[in-house]
Amino acid sequence: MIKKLFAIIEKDVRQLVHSKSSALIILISPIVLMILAGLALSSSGLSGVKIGVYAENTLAKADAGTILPVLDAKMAEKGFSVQYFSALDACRQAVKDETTHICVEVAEKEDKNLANIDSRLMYKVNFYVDYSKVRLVWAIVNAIRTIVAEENTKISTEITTKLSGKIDFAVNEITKNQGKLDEIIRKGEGIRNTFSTGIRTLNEIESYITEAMTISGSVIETSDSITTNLDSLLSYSSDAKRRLSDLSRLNPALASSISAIQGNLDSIDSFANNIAIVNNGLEEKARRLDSRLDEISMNQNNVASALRNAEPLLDDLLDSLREVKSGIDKLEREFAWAHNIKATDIMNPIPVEVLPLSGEVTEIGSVSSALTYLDYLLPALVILVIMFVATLISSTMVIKERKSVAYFRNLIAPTNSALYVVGVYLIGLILVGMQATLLVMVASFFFGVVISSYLSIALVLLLTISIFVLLGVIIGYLFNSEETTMMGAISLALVCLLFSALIIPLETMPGIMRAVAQFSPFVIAETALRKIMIFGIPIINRGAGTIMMEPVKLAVIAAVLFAGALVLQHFKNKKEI
Amino acid sequence: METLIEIKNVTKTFENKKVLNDISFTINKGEIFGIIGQSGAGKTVFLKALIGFYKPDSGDILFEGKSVFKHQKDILKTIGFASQRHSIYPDLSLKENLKYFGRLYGMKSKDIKESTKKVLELVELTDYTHKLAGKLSGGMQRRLDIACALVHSPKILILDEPEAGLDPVLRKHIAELIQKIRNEGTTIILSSHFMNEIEPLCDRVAMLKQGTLAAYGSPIELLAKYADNYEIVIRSYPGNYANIVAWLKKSGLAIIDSRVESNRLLIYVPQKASPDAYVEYVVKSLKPIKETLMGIQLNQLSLDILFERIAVK
Repeated sequence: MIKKLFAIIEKDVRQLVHSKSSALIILISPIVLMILAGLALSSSGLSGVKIGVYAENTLAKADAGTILPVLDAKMAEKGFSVQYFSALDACRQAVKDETTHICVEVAEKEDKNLANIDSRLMYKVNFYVDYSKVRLVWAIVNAIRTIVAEENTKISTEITTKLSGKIDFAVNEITKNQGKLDEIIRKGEGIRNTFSTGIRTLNEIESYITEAMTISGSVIETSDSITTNLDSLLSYSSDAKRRLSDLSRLNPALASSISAIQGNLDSIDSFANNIAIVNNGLEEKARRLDSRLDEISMNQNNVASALRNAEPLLDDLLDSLREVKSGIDKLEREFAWAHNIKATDIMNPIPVEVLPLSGEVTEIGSVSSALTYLDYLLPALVILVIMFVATLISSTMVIKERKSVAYFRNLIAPTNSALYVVGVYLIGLILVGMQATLLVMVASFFFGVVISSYLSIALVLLLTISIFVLLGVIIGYLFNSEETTMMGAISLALVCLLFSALIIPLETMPGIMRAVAQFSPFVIAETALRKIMIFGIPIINRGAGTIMMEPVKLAVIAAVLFAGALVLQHFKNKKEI
Repeated sequence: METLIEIKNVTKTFENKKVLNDISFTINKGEIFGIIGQSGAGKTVFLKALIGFYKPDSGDILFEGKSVFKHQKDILKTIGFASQRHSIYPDLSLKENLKYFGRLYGMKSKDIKESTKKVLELVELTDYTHKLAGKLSGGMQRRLDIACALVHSPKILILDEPEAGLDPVLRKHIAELIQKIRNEGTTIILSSHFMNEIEPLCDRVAMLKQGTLAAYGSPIELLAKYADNYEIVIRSYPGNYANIVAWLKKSGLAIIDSRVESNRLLIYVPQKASPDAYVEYVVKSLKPIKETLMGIQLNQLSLDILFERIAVK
């Protein structure tokens, strides 16, 4: 059995060796492929790209203060070939004619006032792109966007720095004037207190006035009473004098006494008259006092009323002042928040930096312990090569064998037909394994790709090659001509490629397609190889007690495909005999 | 002779069409046995049934008393098969082809080496041992194909239309080779749809007609049984053969059939008359119609014609 199997393998190898071009392509193709991939990835890829530029305002180009001279310099720095157009249509037509790859329009904004802030704010940049070249467009747009973004950031930083300076100035001015406002409020409150005191004093004065007026009223009343009493006294005195006269006439003896009495009465009258005069003066003064008190009372009332009226106004004024103060305090606090913030913090509040998970990305070809882009791409590249080569080689081998004139002799030989499937599988494994090894070796020795965990890589590659070789075997047995087999193999590889993350990110695919893609051997193998090659994750982690599931899935798929290939071969052989 | 293969009432149906219908005959050890039939007569199906790849609906095929369908693997070891397409790998040398097929038959390296030498000598390709098979001429490839079928020293060699597509010289070489192989003691079964090609080779033939066995036996037996005519081949100038046939019929010659082939007139007459009398009569008859006789030949009816009459018509 083993001898027969070796004979089948030897036969295929010898056929291959005798066909020198086939042998050569198997050995040379991975080396050439790897060298091409390595060289391709070592280039930035966009030098030599032609950029058409149209500036609406020709001054925009000449004016050193505008964005265009800066863009021009940076595009030249990136190695872009810049071509200026005098009309937008010509610029856009050049993209259609493929004389340029993109048209960049530097147009003026409608708001001319922006020029007062910064002359560079007057312009906006529009891209005109040919979306049929999606990847190129995005690469160029990203590159130019980066250039524009750099200038945008620069302008924004400058303006933000200015703005920040103005805020600092405002904060200082507010801080400075806050004390003055405090003093005004304090004085206002003093005035308010004085007002209150004045009103209180006026109220006291009013009571005093009232009291004085009462007293003056009493004085007048008393004076009136004195006047009345004096009048009565004089009347009594006059009456007494008359009576004394009568008495004297009647009794002249008494005349001297009566005369003395009459003289006394005259003195009393005179005294009463003097008192009356004094009393009248007192009354007049009391009345004048009363009158003045009325005036004082009236004025006091006026003043009190004025003060009372002024009091709420003063309160309002104070309230307003306090509100202003509170507002300024808030402003100060708010500005204090903005105070000392750096322009860069405002421009780029959340700094984003894309960092590799393993090592530092460097240029291709630089021999360094850090990982290169090729390191990151190598897993996908290796699986891609395996997928295409394995499916094509095995399907071609099967269909060639089936269509071979010698096939019939194989069928009638007393050999288990499964051996032929095993033979094709093993020869595919050897050839594609050789290619994959060459690919990895070239990547490692010529481009400095870091390779470790050889055993794990070998295991994943073995399973991956097995799957794609067996898929090729199945295709080889499914189709009945070399042309359709080739198409089938290429179609299958293309489907796998489409359902991988190489062309479209899996995450952006619709749900069902994403679910299907999860079962794609390409995706599984690439994931496993990436984990091992880039992140150094072991297949079996004894420490953590975990096992990588991808190789298990690959093994299951390979087993299913092997069984499928055997069943299919059995039925096809039966049909072909 | 000892019976090697016994075909017993073999019937095989494909898509409701009987491609083999109750076929029964035997093949003896050491003989060259021909299977003849038109395209679609069932030859290839029969040969594939013979090696056990088509199991019949009924009947059996016994190799030395063992059913090929029950002991296929063992019986296949004793059979060599050369199909009408050269079952060889053009990108392998002659030696590599023989080595590969020898291995498939489970031979040891030493045996393969000896057998390779022997069969290459047999097919006269020793000088080309290391040459790629694809670089050989058509005749050489046919011989290599036969060598590949013989490398494991089979008891039985099956040749499916071995002379198809070969020029007369190569056919002769192949015929000689077949004889040589038979002389080595190998039983040979060969198929063809040209009776004249296998007639000189075969000890016995089986004629298939639409899946049925139309005739079976040695050429002599068949001719004795079925052939009762002579064939007169005439070449004359100017060669107005239709006129000749009409004149001969008018002259009273009992012509069964006639045809023109390769600028020659073939006339079939009953075997009962004396052959010389026929020749004399024809020679005399040509003069009045101004035909100059260039050549005349009298043949007893070949199996080819017999085949045409039995298996074709």
